Amino acid sequence: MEKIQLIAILISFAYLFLVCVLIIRKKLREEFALLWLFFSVLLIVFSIWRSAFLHIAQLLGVYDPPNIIFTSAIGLICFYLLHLSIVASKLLKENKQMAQKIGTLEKALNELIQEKNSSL
Amino acid sequence: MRILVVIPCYNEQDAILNVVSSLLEAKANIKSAEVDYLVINDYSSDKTKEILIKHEINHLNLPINLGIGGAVQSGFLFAVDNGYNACIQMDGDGQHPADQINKLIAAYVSSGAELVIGSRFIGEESFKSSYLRRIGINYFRHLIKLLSGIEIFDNTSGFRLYGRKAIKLFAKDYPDEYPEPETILVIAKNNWVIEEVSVQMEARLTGTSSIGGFSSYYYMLKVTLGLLFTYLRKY
Repeated sequence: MEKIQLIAILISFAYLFLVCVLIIRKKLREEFALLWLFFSVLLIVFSIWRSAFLHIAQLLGVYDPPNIIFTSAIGLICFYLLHLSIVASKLLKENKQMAQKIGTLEKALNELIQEKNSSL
Repeated sequence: MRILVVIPCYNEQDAILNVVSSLLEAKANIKSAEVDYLVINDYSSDKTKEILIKHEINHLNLPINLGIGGAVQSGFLFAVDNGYNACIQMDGDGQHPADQINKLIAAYVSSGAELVIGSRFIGEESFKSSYLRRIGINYFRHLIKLLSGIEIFDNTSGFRLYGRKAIKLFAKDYPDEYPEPETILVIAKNNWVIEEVSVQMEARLTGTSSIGGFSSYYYMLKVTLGLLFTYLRKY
């Protein structure tokens, strides 16, 4: 085993450990937690089984195996960023809805209080 | 003793009236506790809200859709703030039989359990469920037994009663999705008593189960990991 592979394996396990600690401390929402667990296991698999990339590259007819890593990593990151944007958009929309609801409620409440005070 | 029946509902315009009226009927026969109810309307997009207002049903409208976990949790918050001793969770689709809540209450009064599960499998006349679902439930039964030593037969039943300590805990922190098996383990890890009583359940009146097809695999994976991480947490 080369040094770099040992380092890759160690980092992958450290990453998995970090994800697990975050889940146990409830810092990650469950659906996100599943995804990060999946990625950390994937990292471990590929750092141990290095020739996997060669096989995949051969299968797909890619000339330079490392290209597979870069292309798929960038692809996955793009999709995940898009997903995060969707989540953020939903949160912003819901945040606006809640603010509007609170505003309306406060107005109704103030009117009730005024009505009550004036009838005393 | 005061008990709050929490009824989460999302797009249940066809079922909610029957659910509430059967609950009111059942409530009249219960002498051992004062039973109130609260419908949580989880931002339904159909006529649920109008129906709740028109028929003067005690309800709470959420300003955004939180999903089943968040909706039920709103009920727990209300129960804690208003000094209820226990909460019963009953689905808004008519699947949970209101006339059986006295069984949950009786078990709670006699055992002081923090969790009483209305089970479809202990009794002889139980709900028929699909083969795949049976496998899932048996698998969770073994997993929960392995992790906590407690054997619960109908671990996915959402028809249950929580005691005051459990409500206080879950008002702060409750799983967003598929909370049923995970909450059993949380109660067990706190060394609180769990009771399982047999109830008869009907097939759902309207709508479809939240679990089926591809999502059943996601469900199994999600709940398995949820149980394992709950096991690792300190309570």
